[in-house]
Amino acid sequence: MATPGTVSVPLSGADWFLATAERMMLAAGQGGHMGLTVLRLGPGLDLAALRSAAARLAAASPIAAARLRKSLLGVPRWVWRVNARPSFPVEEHRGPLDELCARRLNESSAAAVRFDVLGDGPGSTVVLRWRHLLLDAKGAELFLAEITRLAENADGPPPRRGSWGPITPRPKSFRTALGETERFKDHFYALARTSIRSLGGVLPRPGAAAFFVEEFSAAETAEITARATTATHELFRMGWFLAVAMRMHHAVLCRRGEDAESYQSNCPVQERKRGARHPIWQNHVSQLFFRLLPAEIAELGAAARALQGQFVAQTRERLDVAFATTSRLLRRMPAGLYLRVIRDGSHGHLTSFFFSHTGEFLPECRTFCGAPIAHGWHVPSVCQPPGTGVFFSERDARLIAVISWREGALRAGELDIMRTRLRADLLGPHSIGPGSIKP
Amino acid sequence: MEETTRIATRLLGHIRSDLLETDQSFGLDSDLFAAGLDSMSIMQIILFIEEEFAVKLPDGAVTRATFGTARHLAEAIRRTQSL
Repeated sequence: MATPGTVSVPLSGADWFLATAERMMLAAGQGGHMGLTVLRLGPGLDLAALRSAAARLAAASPIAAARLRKSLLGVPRWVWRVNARPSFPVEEHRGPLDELCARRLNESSAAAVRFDVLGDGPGSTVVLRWRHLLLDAKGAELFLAEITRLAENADGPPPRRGSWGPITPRPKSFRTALGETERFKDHFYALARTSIRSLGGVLPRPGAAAFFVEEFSAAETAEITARATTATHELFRMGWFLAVAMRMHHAVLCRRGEDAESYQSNCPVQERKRGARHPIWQNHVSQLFFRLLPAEIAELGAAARALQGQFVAQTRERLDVAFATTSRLLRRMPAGLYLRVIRDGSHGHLTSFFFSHTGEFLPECRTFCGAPIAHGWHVPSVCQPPGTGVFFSERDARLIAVISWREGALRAGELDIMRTRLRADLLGPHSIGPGSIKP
Repeated sequence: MEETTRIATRLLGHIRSDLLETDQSFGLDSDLFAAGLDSMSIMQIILFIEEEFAVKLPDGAVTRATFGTARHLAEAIRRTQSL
């Protein structure tokens, strides 16, 4: 599809899913699909070095100026002009962090990424806003690591150009690919036998992106880790956090007097090698799909162990690879049809809610542009349906939980219900006041 | 000891080619968790061990200490083989 003077690369399977979901968001008046990464810094941020590094990385990242192109049944592609020169703006601000984050999460902008810097006493806070169609959360961390490498090594090698394209090896033959697709379909439609419900409902509606960041101290995180390890396994704790997120949503539905036949959520599986510096751009994740019945989430430990069992079973069957192959084949499907297939297979909701635990936040960096990193986290926005998401990460053994939702998906008081359930499950009943939550 | 080293070397080759991006100095006694080992890559190592060495690690051997280095993993495989 590239014409003279242009360059193009195919979208990843995850890119096309997100592009399809964003089309739904735009049509419903929800705006584009943006994510934020927040860095709380100590003193010493070198703004000039940040601006210089941003300019150098922009020059090496023409894909940041790409447009999406797709023929009816062709593979969608990112296309940019050979001489494309994206810019990564850096602006200084004053005022509350939450207000800035809410504004950036909800504004339309052509910039793939931008920086906002808030002065904050002796230190500062840096907010990176990124377009989810071009970056996933790990990509945002690699982007920040590359920025600080450039900022702190002005004479170092220039940023690597390119390095895009699929990471998971392609199946050896089309027949193998179809076999993997069949394996995924069997799993997906087995899950779809029970219906699900999201807090935002099936019909897409306009609504701003909103979020709440729940921080946990080092002592609290140590307690949480011990509880998770006791309930599941020291090496496999994801199921415990997913069980907590399911129970947060169950608590809200119970308060509404409603119920769900089951709760389903996907857990992203990073396709980049751990420790890799590249690729920064495009979404490189597969998915594992989890589902529990309400009776199975009545007790947190049992729910966590059931989800851990599903994790082991799915990784043994390499369903992450099967899904990656399936989503790669589905790139040829027109967006409207793709969305219909996904919604038909999920009773209209896409999923009960979005979830991830991205592990250690930005482990590559102790400093950012000269300033020590005191803390950091991602704030992803979500589409509606499903309208809500719960996202975990850690930095220096301190857990962060971000509750993200579309306005209208949560009713008055329901954020409090989710937060209370979150803290009660993570830290135990002693962490909340008496009578503030029903079991 | 030679067999343990051979197994550890084979494991390390798989880990470096498929799971972790490491520099040349990364060896049999290097810390896998510091290099980014997570639950997904642990599962992939378990599957690799089952396919490559026809060994199923007992639940009690799936610990942070066992997965700390390629050599510790190889020692666990040898212990399981000798059961």
